Amino acid sequence: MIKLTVNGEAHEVDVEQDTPLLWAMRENLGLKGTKFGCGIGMCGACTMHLNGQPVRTCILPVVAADGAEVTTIEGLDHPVQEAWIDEQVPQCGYCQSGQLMVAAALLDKIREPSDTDIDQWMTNLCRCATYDRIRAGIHAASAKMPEPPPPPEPEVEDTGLEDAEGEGEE
Amino acid sequence: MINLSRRAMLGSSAGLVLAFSLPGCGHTLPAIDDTINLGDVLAEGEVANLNAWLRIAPNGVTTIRMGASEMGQGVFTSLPMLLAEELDADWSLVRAESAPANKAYRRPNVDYPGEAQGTGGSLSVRGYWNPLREAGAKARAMLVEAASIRFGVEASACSISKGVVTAGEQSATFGELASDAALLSPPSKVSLKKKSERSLMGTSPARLDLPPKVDGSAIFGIDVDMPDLLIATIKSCPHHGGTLVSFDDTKAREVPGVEDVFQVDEAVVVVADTFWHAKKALGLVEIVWDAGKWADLDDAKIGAMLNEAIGDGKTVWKTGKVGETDIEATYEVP
Repeated sequence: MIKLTVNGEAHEVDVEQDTPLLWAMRENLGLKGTKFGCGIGMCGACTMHLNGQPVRTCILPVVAADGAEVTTIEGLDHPVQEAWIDEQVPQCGYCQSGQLMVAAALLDKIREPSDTDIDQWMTNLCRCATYDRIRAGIHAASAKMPEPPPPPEPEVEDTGLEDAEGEGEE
Repeated sequence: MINLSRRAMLGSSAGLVLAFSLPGCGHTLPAIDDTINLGDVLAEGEVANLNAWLRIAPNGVTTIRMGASEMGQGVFTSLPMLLAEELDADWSLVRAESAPANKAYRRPNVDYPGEAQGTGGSLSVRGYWNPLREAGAKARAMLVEAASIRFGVEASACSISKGVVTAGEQSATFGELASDAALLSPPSKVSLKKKSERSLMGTSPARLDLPPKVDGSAIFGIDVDMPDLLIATIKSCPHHGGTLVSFDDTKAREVPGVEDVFQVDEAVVVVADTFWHAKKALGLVEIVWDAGKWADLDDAKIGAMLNEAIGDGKTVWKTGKVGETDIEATYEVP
């Protein structure tokens, strides 16, 4: 029995341990928004968030996710989804769950990604070739991202090192 | 063209439908499968069964059933536009959904064997061009007639804009008129708008199929489920013209959920309870192939064979003047 938190809810999944996370979600929990593409971790259609990180789940044994927090497209609530409609990104839509999961993770990490950031992150394949609109969608979503919370007040601890380092660099 | 069964259905239900038959389509349709949910198609208080392209809910949501498949080419937007233009609908209330399999929804300008709901050849808009526009115009006429009766005026005194019928001081929405209109007979002949009279066609509205494609709710073929559905996976000879010599399915049959492993032509098939079990088991079938006479065929060899067949070739197109610089390029298809 594998224990997972999926989209905020605790689940126990009774499958063989080598079952890829993708199929455990699709076939055991009925979460079919995530798609099967290549089956060898190349195309990214199967991307989910595992503890906040985008992972390709068609090759990830569910046992490797035991105890983890999983977010699927069904649990995604992110400005990038609205931007995807604003920019009319999808065509057939089959790869877009995976594209959105990566794009959301990118924007959560880098609030204003450059085209280079986008190229480095967005390696999912799209047979309709919506790549230009994916790029536009990410930039549009960037403008919609909520202001990051102010950083917590640093605990002041006077070690004296800060001054010393500052002087050393100059 | 109202039939008794539809009257009975309308009488027995709280919801409202606007129904009409197309010529030659006077048969009963199967119940609509409401698992295909595009946005808020199933609005409150609505009954979903009728016998053609269109239904209008009390809240004005206008749902158009599409015989063509939306595969990213945009027909779930372009085809509803054809109908909505002639209907003078409020586009913001228009929804599209897949029609059930029925010849009422066939593409009329293509001779498939038998009668098929096919999508292909870049022919959806051309094929549904007249049926959908006529469907919209006929529905519009029925709504106008219903309004004229309600308002006590001539139909010619009514005008429609964005799903609202107006005559003088009186007005009613499509949603308010739909139940009355559904009991009227559609006109046998309607005139369609001239190009200069169109306001929706020729524009580029947002696609109707996108909302379910950004939240994971869109249903693709792989997502379809049925009670006791089994999944088959198949592996055919990786060489063109090759054959299956033998296979050992001992390990494959040890995978839980596997129902059967068998040969079909030059391929091995596994049937199991889930996709994963069928996929995993197929990978465990030990197969001996005879690659056949094309075993060593690759792109380079195919290219060489094609070039040899072409020989010196021939000039198929010549235009312009030859300048001082020669530009040479080779294009290959496929």
